[in-house]
Amino acid sequence: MIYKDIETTTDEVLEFIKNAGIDIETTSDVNAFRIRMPNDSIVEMPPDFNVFGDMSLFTITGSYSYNYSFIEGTDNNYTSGNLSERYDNRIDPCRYIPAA
Amino acid sequence: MGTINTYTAYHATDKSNVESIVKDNFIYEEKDTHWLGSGVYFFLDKSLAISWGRNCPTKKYGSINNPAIIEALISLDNDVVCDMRELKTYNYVKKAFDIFWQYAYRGHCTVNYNDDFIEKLECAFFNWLTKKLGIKCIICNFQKRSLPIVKCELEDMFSRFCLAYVETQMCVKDASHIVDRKEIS
Repeated sequence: MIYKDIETTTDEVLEFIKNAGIDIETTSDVNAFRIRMPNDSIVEMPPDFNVFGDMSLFTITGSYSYNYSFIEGTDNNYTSGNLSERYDNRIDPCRYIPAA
Repeated sequence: MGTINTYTAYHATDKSNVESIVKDNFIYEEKDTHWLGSGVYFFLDKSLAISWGRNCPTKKYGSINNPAIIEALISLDNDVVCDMRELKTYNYVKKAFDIFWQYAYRGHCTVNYNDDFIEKLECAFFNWLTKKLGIKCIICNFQKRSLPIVKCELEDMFSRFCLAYVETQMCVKDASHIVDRKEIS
């Protein structure tokens, strides 16, 4: 295979997604992500939380602050915040659950 | 132009389809749950094709009442084959999925882990990848719990040998590369 940089657009990707029968309208609730933490507690994510973004820094109000890098597959790095507990293991993306 | 490789691969179908496939080649339907996107699917291991033919999940993939196996010769230029058995390609595809998902997310497609969504997303991703790279075939390994693998007396010890059986599937996107077809017993 010839490896090349892939350029695409949102419209192009959505065309394939819609052709596969995925209804964007019913899965567009981007304002309410929830995450299941390793201790099984569930917390609400900020509205601008980018699930697979590069090093998205976000704060879970009042408790935790992490750097995430799913792209590079590194562990979550403790950064700052009022931590009552530190999780050393990467949070598996599969733990993300869609908002109800 | 890369090296031309010829693969021998096996496809399970209903006996009633054999004559037209052998004579006129495969025709595939666009389906939204095909795990490697649209195309004609083959196993590299004949026994898996036989097993599939006997246990085809009929609701999704068509009905096989009287199973038959077609052996096909598939001739492909390496430049148009996405062979995910190679680590470099496997990692490249994973990175491509990151790109795909980022744009999907921007388009308000959100994470959903139900099986129906996963199947459709996988199909959409590979159809997109096929277009972006101009590939004609995807080859990859699957490790499924449902494979008909026997247990041995010292199963626990054998499992520690770390020997995995994986099934290899080919999804051919352009049937003109399927250069020969015959029914086998």
